[in-house]
Amino acid sequence: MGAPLRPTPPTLGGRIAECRDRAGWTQKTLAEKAGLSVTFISEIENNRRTPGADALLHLAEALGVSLDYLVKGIAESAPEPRPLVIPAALAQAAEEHGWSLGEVSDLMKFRKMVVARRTRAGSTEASDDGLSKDDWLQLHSRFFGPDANG
Amino acid sequence: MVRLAQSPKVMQLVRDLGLSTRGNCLDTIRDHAFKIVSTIIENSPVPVDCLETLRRVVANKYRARLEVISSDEDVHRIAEDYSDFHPHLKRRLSDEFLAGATEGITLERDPYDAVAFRYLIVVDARGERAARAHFTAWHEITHLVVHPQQLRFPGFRRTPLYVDIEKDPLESVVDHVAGKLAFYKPLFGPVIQRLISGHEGLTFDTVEAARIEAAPTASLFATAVGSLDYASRPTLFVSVGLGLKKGERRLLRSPQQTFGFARVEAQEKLRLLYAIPNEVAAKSDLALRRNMRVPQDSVLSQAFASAIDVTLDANEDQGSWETSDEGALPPLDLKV
Repeated sequence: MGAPLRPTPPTLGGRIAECRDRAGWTQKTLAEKAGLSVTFISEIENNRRTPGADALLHLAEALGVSLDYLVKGIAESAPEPRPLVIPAALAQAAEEHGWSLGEVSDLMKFRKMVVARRTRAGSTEASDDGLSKDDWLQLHSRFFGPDANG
Repeated sequence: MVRLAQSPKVMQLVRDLGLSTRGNCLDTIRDHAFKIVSTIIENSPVPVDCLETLRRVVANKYRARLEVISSDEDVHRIAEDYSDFHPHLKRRLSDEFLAGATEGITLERDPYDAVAFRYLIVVDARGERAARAHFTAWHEITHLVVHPQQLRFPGFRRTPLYVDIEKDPLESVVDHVAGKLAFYKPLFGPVIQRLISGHEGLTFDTVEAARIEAAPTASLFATAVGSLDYASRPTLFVSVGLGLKKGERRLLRSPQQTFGFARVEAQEKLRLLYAIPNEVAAKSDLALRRNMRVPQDSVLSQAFASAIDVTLDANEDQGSWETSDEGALPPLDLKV
């Protein structure tokens, strides 16, 4: 799905074929993932048949795209780029320990990927500004230390 | 709930949504979420005729994809299947679901893609968490519904790290709204109302029948809570278990206890772990509340002490319940 964007195909079938193509899937793979027949997929992509509501939802979910995109060709515009603001505690830790900008950026990306979280006690994670230098050191050690995983 | 509605964080969220803080802020946020969901249903190319489709359509509208973890293996599978979603996905999932105690999480794709789904919602359904998975999924989706896009980072997660804290008010708001959306009235209401009128009011049998018919992926517990407001008489949904007094819990957490300056010998007693009232109950004399000690002669105590699964009922008096501050509660006939 990371391929460069091409113009949005004008038909539903064209958009389904385009999304499948971007995922690197054959019609058979999509048929399996969406629980539909290969013949049906082929006919949809060639605009010979229109999927019903249920099939449409299955196709959108299998392809990982919105119904808005499949049905109307509406792609969401990219969000405003957010400036990278390095929290003071992280900047201090990075300076003291000679971390590279790449390492700092990795730590921040790791933190920022979480939009919401549910735990038994409710959400308990601090914003980046709320982390102390020690918190960042711990995170760095987990990320780049000898026992780092992932 | 009134205290929650007056929380500064909740009021700020209402302002951020461009709404008025004049009324009850909790109701304002809930109504706002309902309006959004109702618009999504109206404009959906897929007819929304059941709660399961509603969840799928709302998640799709926010370009969110849902994955459920049923075993540790699933954590690795998701990391592999979505390897292009985010460079740190594997580590994040491992931290949250193999090393941590996360029940559900919403992650954002990086780098951004205009077509592919933007959010990955991962819900833990291993072991006893399976019963909460339906609700957890709605909780995560509700975050996307009630938080304006510009606030999704990280404005609503400003609670201290590694500290035993009270629940964040915004999480409580999301819980409240998610509970309503998970049993969306226009879809769930007709089913539970038909079952209630065909039986003797709201019973566990009615709730189970409604669950099977309208929300098969929900737990009995969640469905019972979602059904409460359809009971015409004051009703309280309770769950009992062993627990400590609030003061005892606080003492056990205190640094003095940690360093051995004061030792608290607290013994867990049978208490109301949950006491969730319906709207009518909130305006009635029904005064049982969370954490109250269950009287020994209540059927709740008998059911808890029973070695086998039993269904018991009894007529009891609210006057047999006591609080340590106020003594016995006012008498009131209770059907337990």
